[in-house]
Amino acid sequence: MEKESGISSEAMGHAVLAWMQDLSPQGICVTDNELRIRGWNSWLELNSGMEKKNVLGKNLFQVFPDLETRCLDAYFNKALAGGVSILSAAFHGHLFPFTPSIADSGFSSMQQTVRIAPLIHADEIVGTITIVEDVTEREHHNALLRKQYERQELFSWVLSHLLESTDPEKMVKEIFPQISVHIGMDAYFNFLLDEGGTRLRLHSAGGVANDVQEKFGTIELGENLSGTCALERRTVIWSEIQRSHEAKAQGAKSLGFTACICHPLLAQGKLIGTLAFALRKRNQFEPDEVEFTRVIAQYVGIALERSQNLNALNRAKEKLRSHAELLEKEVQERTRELLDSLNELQTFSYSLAHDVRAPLRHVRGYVEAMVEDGQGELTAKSREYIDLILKSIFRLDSLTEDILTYGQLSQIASPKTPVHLDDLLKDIISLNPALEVPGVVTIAMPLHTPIAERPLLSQCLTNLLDNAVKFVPAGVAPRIVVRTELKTEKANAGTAESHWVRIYVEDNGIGISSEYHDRIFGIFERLGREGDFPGTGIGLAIVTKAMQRMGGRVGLSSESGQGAKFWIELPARDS
Amino acid sequence: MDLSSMQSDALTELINIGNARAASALSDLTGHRITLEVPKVSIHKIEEVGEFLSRTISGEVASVHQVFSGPVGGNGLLLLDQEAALILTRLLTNNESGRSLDASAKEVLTEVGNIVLSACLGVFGKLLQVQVTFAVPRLHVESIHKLLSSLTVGREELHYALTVQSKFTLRNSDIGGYLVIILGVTSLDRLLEELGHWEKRQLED
Amino acid sequence: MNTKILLIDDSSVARRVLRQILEGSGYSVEEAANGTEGLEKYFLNKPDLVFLDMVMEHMKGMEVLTKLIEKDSKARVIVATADIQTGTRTEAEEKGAAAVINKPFTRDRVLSTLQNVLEGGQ
Repeated sequence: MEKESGISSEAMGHAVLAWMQDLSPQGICVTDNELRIRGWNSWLELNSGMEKKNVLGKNLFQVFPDLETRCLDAYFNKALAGGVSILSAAFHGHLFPFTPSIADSGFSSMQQTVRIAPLIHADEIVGTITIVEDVTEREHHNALLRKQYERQELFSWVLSHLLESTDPEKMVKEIFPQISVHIGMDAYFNFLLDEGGTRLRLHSAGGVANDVQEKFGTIELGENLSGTCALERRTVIWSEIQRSHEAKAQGAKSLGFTACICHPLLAQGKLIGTLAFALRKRNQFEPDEVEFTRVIAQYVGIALERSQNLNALNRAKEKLRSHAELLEKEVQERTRELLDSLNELQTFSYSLAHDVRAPLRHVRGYVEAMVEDGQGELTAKSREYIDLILKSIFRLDSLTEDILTYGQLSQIASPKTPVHLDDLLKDIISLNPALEVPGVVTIAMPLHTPIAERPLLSQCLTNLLDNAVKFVPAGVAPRIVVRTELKTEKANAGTAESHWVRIYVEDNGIGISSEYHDRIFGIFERLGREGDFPGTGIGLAIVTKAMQRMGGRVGLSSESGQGAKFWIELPARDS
Repeated sequence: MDLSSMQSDALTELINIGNARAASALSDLTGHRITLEVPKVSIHKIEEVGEFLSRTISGEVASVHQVFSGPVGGNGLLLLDQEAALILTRLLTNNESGRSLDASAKEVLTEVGNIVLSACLGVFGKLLQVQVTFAVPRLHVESIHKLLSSLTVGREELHYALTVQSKFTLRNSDIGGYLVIILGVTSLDRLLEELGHWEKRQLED
Repeated sequence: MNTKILLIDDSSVARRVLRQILEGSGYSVEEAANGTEGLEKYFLNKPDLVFLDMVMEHMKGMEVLTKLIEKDSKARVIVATADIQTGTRTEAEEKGAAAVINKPFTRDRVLSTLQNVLEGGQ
């Protein structure tokens, strides 16, 4: 801009424009200070479709009335006041309404970056100059990047929601409406395969009326879009539906869809349903939409599979739980029944024994009185009978006493203490005249000291010694040896050692053949002929039960005819 | 150079008015209300301003630079750190996906910088009753020191930087930045002198 | 009776300008340099009217306005601010401001607004 007197501002404006006119890749619009257009370069001619000669001299706002309605006149006024403005495409879109330079940009008008500045000549503001830059392509590119970014965000949003949700089926229903809006779909259908695998049941749908959802509540495989997709197990895309005459497409056509896409929902290769999206305005899907919906279908498949697994797991858990509950209940019930009957039995046998003893003593008392009173009157035969009666009474009495003892074992507990066998054995022997006979019982020293309930141990040894002295063949003098042994046991490697005292009671009696060894410890087991040896058959059962209660063991080594060797084993006193 | 508390107060009030004009213009443009905070004003020798700014802004800064000329001339700068620049463009354009300052975002920033600088310098121009003209605004993204060294400042006189630390709230986000106006000592003296008259003029009108 | 006016503004310049305009017209003026002080002085001295700045440190003008009206629904407050956004004006009026005037001040505008508010309230 040179200072040349005599040159008019209009002439100067022309000069500037003439120079740039054909070169500039941007629009250049010059106005005078009344905002009449004084310059309109070829770029503007080309893009506006308005020839220079038709706009020159006209007021800018007359040619573009919407500048004033959009309040953009302020920028020109600011320029006339010396101010410079830059109008970004992001805020304003465009200054002049031109057609976009590239097709399918998504913009309805050319996106422009505009600079408006005062035109100064000789320190005077003589007008304005406006530079218009076409940034449509750049903005289009940015919009695509933005879209891509938003989709990525959407993907991760969808995925995280589907995978975090405890109820993916419900979540699927909730997120579909949002997905559809985000990706510009007009409707969606989500079918799930029936258990029989022959029909599809509508799980969720959007963008269609309720009665439509009812109408398509269940469809057969091969029927409509979703049925076709399910049958063929691959993505099915239908374009230009409104022009289609295909029978299958009539359903979609009647709903006003222009294009549909349906993806199978697969879980580990197994079809679980379908996911379809539909458009009402565009006749086909963009490749990125196909890809996008495919990924969504993948995610939904994963989520639904997870949901189904979850349901199955919960069902199994529930079943297992109720089964276990039932079992537990049964066990408890049976245990209770058993305990009841056991108690009942014990109470019964105890009371029986108890109730029998009193009349029995009466009988004995009267029989003994009869013998005393009728000394000379009884015949030898009668005496013999009375002896037999007394023997039977004696046996019956022992039997009831043993039953009472056995019953008491399960009821009364005394403390476990070290028991000195020396004293105990002397007591026992002194109570049985058959044992008191010198030479019958030999006690081998030393005697180790077991831990036991003294009354129980006493009972056990009494029974064993009584048995030993009892089962001796006629004419043989009984010989019994009592001795003890200290045993050390280690149940498993690594566990502590335990010490036991084993007490042997060995006799020279009839012995017991090994085939009976298991049985003799049961109640009422008597192995010999009843008549030969006295006894109730409860003795060994009492021993067994007593030993069980004290945590001890009982055993036998014997052969028929060689005498019996019984033993009992109890924890040893710590020494 | 130290400002008297009276000068500082008057300058703050004046810049407050300028900021408010800028906020109003931005609000009109974006449709979002902008809440202003009290600006903090200080004056530094041009050689020292870099160090002062580095204390609060680090890394690369986005700057909108506009040269103004006329009876009072100088450089106007709006400085935002990268983060603030990104947040601002995101908020203004409703574009949540902006991860970097692309061409489009830079343009938005330039427009915003132009509005802020025009409003503030416009208030000064009005105060001084002088006509100031502006060059086209330019946007740079670089370090503070590189930015300051690239400014062409006349060597014939001392230059000062009037720095204004501004903060405002937009859509519940706080955004802070610096407005730096670089003036020759003559222009600055005139400005400070006029500040004294400004008070009186308000009483006269 | 002498009309008492309270100025709440953190700018000493703004307070000075207003004080001179108001005292010149016979009003008695009191100043507060921040919102807290302003609230204190309002309830202590019960002024007839308040000029309130919006852009202040710590307690913002809008908050002061809310508190004033909350405690004294008859309080007459003229919001005096550089903030010319319509949104700000609307919000201030909604919160109970009697009028809004913009900075920088002019004597005429200050006095005419003041008179309007005082008359309107009687």
